[in-house]
Amino acid sequence: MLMNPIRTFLTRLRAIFTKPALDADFDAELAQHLEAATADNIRSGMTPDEARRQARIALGGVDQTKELQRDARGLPWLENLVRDVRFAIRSLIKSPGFTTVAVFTLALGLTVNAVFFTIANDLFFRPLPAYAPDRLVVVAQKGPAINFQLPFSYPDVEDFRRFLKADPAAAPDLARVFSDLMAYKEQVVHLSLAGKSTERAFVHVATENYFSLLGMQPFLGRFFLPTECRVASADPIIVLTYDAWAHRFGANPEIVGQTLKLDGVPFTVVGVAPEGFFGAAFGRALSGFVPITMLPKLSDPYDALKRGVLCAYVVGRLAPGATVAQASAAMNVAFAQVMKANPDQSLKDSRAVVMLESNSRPGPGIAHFAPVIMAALSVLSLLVLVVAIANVANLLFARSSAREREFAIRSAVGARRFQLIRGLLVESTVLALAAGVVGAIASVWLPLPTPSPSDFAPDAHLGTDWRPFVFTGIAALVVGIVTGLLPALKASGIAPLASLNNSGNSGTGRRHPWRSLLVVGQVAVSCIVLIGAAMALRSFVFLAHSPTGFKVENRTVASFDLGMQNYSPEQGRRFQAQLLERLRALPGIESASLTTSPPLDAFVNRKGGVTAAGASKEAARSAPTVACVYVERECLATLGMRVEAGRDFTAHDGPGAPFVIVVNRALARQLFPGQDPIGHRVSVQGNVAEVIGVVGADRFYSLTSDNSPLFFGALEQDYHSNVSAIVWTKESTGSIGPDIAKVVHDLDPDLPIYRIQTLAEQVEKSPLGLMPFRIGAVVAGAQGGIALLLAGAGIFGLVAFAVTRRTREIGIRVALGASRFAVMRDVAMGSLVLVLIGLAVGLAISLAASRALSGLLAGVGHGDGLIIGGVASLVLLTALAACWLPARRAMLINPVDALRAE
Amino acid sequence: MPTEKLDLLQGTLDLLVLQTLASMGPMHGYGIARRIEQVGADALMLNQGTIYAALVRLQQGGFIGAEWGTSDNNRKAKYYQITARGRKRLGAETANWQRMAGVVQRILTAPAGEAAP
Repeated sequence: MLMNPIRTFLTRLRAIFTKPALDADFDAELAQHLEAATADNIRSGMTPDEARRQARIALGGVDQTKELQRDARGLPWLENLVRDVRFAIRSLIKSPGFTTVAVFTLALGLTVNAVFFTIANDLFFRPLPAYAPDRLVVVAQKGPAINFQLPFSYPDVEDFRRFLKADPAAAPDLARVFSDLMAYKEQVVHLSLAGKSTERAFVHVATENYFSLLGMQPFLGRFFLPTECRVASADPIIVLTYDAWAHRFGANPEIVGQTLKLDGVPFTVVGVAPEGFFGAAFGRALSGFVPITMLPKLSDPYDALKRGVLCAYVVGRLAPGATVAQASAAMNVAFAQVMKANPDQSLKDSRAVVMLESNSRPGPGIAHFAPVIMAALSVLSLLVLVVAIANVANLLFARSSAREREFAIRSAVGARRFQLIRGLLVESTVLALAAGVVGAIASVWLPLPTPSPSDFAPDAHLGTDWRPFVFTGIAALVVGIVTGLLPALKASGIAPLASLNNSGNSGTGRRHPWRSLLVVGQVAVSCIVLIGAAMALRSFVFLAHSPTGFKVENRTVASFDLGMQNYSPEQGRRFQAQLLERLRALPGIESASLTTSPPLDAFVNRKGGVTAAGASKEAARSAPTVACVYVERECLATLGMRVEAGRDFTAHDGPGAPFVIVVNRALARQLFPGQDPIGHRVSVQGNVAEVIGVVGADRFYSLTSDNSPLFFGALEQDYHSNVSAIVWTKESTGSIGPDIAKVVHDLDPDLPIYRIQTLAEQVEKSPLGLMPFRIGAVVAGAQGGIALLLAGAGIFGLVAFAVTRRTREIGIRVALGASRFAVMRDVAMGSLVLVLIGLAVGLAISLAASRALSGLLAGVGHGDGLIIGGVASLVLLTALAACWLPARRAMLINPVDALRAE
Repeated sequence: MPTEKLDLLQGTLDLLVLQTLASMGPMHGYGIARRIEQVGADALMLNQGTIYAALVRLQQGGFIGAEWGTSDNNRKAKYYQITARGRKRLGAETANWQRMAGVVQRILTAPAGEAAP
């Protein structure tokens, strides 16, 4: 009969927890039944004994009836499971050593994966706090000459939006695939409220439909109006983020209507965004949102609203039913129109790239690298887990061998094979779940190294969501079952008689093909993980020691932007000159200078259209972008950069003198291949400058590439307001930072300083410096270390187990005169053969895999001999050590004890 | 009359219990078992114990209620009685069973050679 399944389930669940009461109730009912039946039987002429007997027969057995009734009223599978879990926990507690090692081993593997998934979750899975975030796409452009995905210029964005709303003929499909398009640019500002010190903060400057496209409602006040963000400089308004409102402005409920200053310009607060909303870029900590048309009022050295100045990423909302592929096609039709109309302000052969918002992290510019890097790391993480599983499976084999008699007894008294397997699987799952709890806790508490350059908006404090916990939970369940499956199948297949007749520690010991295979696999996998780790470490070391062309020792950086404080160029020059004078007067100073970009600045200014003077317009368009750094004349010397040919800047290269630049070798090769560049003239977007010198600064703004074209211009000739002081001290620079800050604040107490750090820290922390490799090396190194540890433990376990099982055999052999050395060799040799097989397999696989990996890394060739040799010897040494301890025990076995132990 | 007793079809026991309670009023487990055996003229193979599994199922479905009471000979016994929900269920299941029985009957008694409709 059909019944309501949920209601039934709940009743049955309740029945489990009220079992004693229900049992007593049914016992009474049955007693009454039997009594009544017996009475009836006596009435029909039976003797009392016969009557009782017949009553029981008619019932079909008291115990059977109870069981039937219990099964019907409760959830037998759940009750069995609970019983198995309790049994497993009891039996695990009875062997604390085994349990600790197994939980710890699995916890290592699960922690690595839980931590990895936490990172991947933020990168790919957590939804942006917005309405229907899975329908949001980010649009960038990519040309063949540049490795990064670049934004569009604001007039391009205006064209796209015109095509979408007013001019469908130009790009007919655009309106079909996008319900709306908006654009934003991350902008750093100096934020000040009357009576408070100025702070450096990050905002999004955006089009008026920023919030409506994201589908947000204000927490206080309002968002942008449709009429705003149309006319340049017309709408000095700001919407604050909830965090900025709560932390910088004391959660003031009267904030709407108040005025604050951005870069010294008054802006009216019109609203506060809801809590948890951090804008269109996932996970960035912003302070507010400003109309993009206000850019000319903010510090805007590059004239960001001009055609050709690539500044704004586009965000679109897909129309119902539209796909990313359709959006990409439509966007490229539109972009082709825009480029055709403005050939001089477009990148050559550029294409629009449309990606889902969740695929645009950590930033649209570098999002296309994320899947590759994460895939490589995920393979390593999974391999570590595989090693951990193999290890614990091996332990379980050993444990179930020791429990053979228990299983034999249980199956002799009627336990079915299925029940034995279920019990063992429950045991391994309990182990894995305990390990999963450890892993989940560790993934929340372990500090993760993250790049925190001060020229991006910092990471928002996101905490974590439910996904990593679900992932870890499911992973633990799967791991538990996978780990226990082989040992359980093997153990449950034991013939009870054979095992009971056998006296436990059998004389010869059976062969264990599964365990041997596990050791081979374990060694092979550790080998692969170690080689991956070694490659990551080696490329880190390679980069850390490769010549950069500049020196970091005893040098300190401090950055500040005068433009955001509304200094005029004259005031700025005066400030910079005074600052240098005072810095150079500090005690213990070797030299001090200024540059627009310290080495490995994530936001080095790049210019297109840098060619040899007289090159065609076409050549200027197709020229790759070149980094340009403007330096005070002592800067190259302060950074320890050697001028290899020509001369350094001098006091003569002042404002009135002809424009001069110093190029690096990469740019010299690019512009004047095979010639001496000194004295040649270079056109920089139409302005001509003379090359006066060549420096070797090929890795000035990217450690990984030694072919990054760059030129230095003279700051005295080309004023820039956003500069960094570089201070070179005679002694170690541990404490010079505060002195620099004091000098700056003596000149302007209200000027925010950022990025006060030693140049060594700058190199380590910069996303273009060692940071990514450092993270990679730390993660891969930890994985490799764990894999090696686990493999060692696995081999140790195998040999130790073999020794235990063969104690009697060894005892007999020693008693018969076998040399102890021969015994030891015999015990260790079998395992070493397995290790060698595993090593060969692992090396073969990693040779093939390293081909794919070497593209990601710097300074590591495919099939690096040092790495292979190093890893092979490391694994062998670990294996030897792991064999040595138990083998030594075998050697020292006292024959008398061994034989008596039976 | 067949010499062998009939096995109870799966699920029919629940129906028989409901019908018994509907026609006889509140009864205890043994009473229900005896009643089914008597009406079935002992032709059914019934383990009286299986009645109790059926009673639990019907209770969980809300088709019957149970209550401890006093039996004819002044003993405590657990009495079951059919609920309104159970009567509705019984009607539906009875109709269903009769339709089924009719169909089986027709097929078993169809004259040879007649074309299937």
